[in-house]
Amino acid sequence: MRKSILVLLLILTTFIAVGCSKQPAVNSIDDESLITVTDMAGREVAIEGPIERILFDQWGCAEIVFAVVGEEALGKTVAVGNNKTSEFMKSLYADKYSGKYTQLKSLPNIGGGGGGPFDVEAIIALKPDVFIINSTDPGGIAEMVGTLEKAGIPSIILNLAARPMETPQIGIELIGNIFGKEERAQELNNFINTQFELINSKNLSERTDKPTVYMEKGSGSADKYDSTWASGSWSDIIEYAGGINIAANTSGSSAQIDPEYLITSDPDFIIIAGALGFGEDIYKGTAVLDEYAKRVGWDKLKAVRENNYYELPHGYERNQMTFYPSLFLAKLFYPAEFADTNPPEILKEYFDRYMLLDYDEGVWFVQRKDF
Amino acid sequence: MDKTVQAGREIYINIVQKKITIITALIFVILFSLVINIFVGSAGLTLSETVAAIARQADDTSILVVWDIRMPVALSAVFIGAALGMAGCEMQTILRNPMASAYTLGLSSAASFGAALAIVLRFSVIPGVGNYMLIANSLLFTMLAAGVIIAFSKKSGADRGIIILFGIALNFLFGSLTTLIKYVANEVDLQSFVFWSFGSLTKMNWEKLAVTVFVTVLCFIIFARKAWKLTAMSLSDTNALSLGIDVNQVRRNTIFFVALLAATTVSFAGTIGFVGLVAPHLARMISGEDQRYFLPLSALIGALILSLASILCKILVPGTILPIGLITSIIGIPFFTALILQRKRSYM
Amino acid sequence: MISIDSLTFRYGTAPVFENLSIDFKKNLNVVIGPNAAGKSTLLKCLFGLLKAQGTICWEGNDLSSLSKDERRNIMAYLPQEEMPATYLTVFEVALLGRISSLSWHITDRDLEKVYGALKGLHIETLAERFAGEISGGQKKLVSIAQTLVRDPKVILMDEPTNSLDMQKQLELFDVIHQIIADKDIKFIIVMHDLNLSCRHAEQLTILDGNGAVYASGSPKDIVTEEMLRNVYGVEANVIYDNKGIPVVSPIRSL
Repeated sequence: MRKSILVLLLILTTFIAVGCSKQPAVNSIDDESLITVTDMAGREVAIEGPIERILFDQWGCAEIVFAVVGEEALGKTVAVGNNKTSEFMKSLYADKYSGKYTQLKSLPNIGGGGGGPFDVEAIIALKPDVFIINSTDPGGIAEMVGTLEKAGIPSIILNLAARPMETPQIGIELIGNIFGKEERAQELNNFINTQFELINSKNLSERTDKPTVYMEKGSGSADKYDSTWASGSWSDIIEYAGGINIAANTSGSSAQIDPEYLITSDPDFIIIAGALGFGEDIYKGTAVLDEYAKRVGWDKLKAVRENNYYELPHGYERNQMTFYPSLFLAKLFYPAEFADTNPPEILKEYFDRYMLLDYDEGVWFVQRKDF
Repeated sequence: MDKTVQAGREIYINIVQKKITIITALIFVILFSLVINIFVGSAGLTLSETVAAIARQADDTSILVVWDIRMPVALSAVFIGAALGMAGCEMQTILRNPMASAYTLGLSSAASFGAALAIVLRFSVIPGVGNYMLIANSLLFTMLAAGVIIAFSKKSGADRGIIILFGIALNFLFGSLTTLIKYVANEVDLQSFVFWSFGSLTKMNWEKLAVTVFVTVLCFIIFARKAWKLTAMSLSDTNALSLGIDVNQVRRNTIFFVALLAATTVSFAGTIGFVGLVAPHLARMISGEDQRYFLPLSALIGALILSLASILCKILVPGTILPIGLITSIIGIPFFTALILQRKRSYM
Repeated sequence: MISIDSLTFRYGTAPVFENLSIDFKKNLNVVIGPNAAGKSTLLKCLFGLLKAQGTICWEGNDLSSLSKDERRNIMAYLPQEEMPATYLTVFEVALLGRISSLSWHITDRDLEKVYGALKGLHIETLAERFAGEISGGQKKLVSIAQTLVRDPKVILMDEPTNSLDMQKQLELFDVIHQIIADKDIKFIIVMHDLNLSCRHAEQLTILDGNGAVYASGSPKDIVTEEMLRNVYGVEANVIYDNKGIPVVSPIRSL
């Protein structure tokens, strides 16, 4: 019996040796239609055009491409990876467009979703011309990207969240180059930059009458505080919009606030970053605000009493639409400075010009009124 | 004289024959599951296409799917399963505790802590290892935990009870440190960490497989050479001592190699629970604790469980590879519970 | 047979015994004494599990000049505690006694020794049972089998009758006498039970509470009411049965 084990091991060793040493598959590439770009992970990527089949790692990533390329990209979408809202987003697009693009009715599953594994085989079987991924951790997906490359599938890694006021524009330009939509990309970037320039022009960082602000994630309850932002992310946006984040530098990048500290700080504004956005309704948003307001001492808080108590869609602090929460908060903090600006109107304009779904299909802010 | 030998041989053959038969049968079942595993996947290759791809007679993409995606994962399932089964077997033996596995004594929480450092804080214990940061961190922290236990045991001459207590302390220490990191993590990193901790074979490749095979085979040989000493660890400490076995030293050496197995598997595939606990249990039911059979059986049963789980996690939800750690636990635990209950009944 | 000369052992700084000298001359030697007299420690020192100062000689040869293995070829040691719930068969437990010569392959000589030992103890029918599942008395016999397979010259036993009922205790001593008669193996046994010791010991050694030898010799000569008063601190009657063996009947603690 020991001999047979030895023989088995020998066979396995040979197998592994063969596997380790073999040459990667090389696909012949037609030079004329070759698109070569450097993606946001610094990788040189060659894509064989024309691009007819596109894969996205998630709908959020698809939308920035739709914004640049338009409906045509939706038509070429063959699969989108999973995340919390992927089923819902899929149905939104399918309801609206599956008459035109029948493949939307039955997009195959390729796994994925927030660090979860993609089914590499399923991706290969779909034979996409390009796989576009928005990832904050290019190292974590290097393995998969490498395997796909061997299978002749180029991946473009975007990193839109790295610096939300600059990196989306870089991504947009990159997408413009890949799809030959440079002009449209420039136009979109101009739109985004205009909003940031408007905020910049008010010199908010130099104000001496800065309001104090507390922000919290929207998945807590009356009994349980959710995490706040002590640095990065929403904390940066508060600062950018000319507010003082009361949680700044209190702890790690995200942790719960000490309720005692919150109540003694008595901030001018309370903003909840919740599950707003597509498919949400205003009642759910109000419900979250009401729930949080039941917490001990919150009825005494200035922001709650004076209705300076809002909910914004979480996730939009780190993508191409970061201009919206920035502008929204800036106007909230300094209404006089932004008297002529209506952030929801600007977001609606963005939707009308660049999105395939309508502004009305979601809720983009909720203010808690007296009850 | 000869009659005594004859009678002894008869009893001995009775005892070992069944074990040998089951081991041989298991090897074939595992090979079979390995082949099935290579034929299952979402790329939609037909049987003949797969065979052609195995023989490298197909198009590049099919060859890639079979050779670079399916084979490393299928073989990893077998070897990581074997490693976990073996590690569990020896841990249960030296601690004389059926609840022990490769992950007890804080080894897996040390690995998790290393992984959390890499995923959340992007902190690498060895600078400049790039994408291998996570692997290096969890490997190092597992071996560090083992080193601390071994040093502690050596210094204090601790028996197994104290080693278990110390291991529990380490477990809590690394657990809390990990919680601390999770506390400051942003949600994207947190989710990555959660997925890592589920355990998954999708990140295996030929190079990692080669390391896994090397470590697994090495540890098997080392344990097998000490088979009788380890068998004697099933007796009481004093009894083992009376047979001339330095129980504390055997315990320390074994912890080192179990940690090596745990470190390798956890850093490559995350924490895959349950296999290291249940494989030795099943093996013990079949073979008893004679390490010449207990050890290979634990390895083989571990290999089979993980190989089957690897097939299941590909076919349960088409287009999605479920984390293998989830499969082993969710499907394994009811099965295991039923087995324990049935066994208990047969005793009564 | 085995003689110890000015043996000293300390746990930390507290001495268990100092300058202990005993000459074990007979085939069946029993050591008794009150709790904490250092009986078990003495056995462990003899076997070499604990390191004591002083000399231990086997047939006139100093044991400290021998290697661990050579020492274990002379002596086997049976610990006090019961075998744990192990999933080793009786056969395998006995086989482990030959651990120093075992390899992956089991030789005819191993099989002969193991089967011989089991048969000699009349437990060969239990061979395929798990040692964790059998009765306490049977477990003790399996442990003895484990020592016998090594052909030792001396077997050291630490309170072997513990947790055995009266019948099993007597049977155990029958087995011991049998082994002495058949294999010429000597025994040094630590006991708690005075009456059982008096009946079976050829040489009885009494340790007092301070770890010194109170007396060593034939039970008839040394088990006296005075001894019981001095060593155990009890008032007791000692009567003698028809063979002249002392029988102790304790009355009260002093």
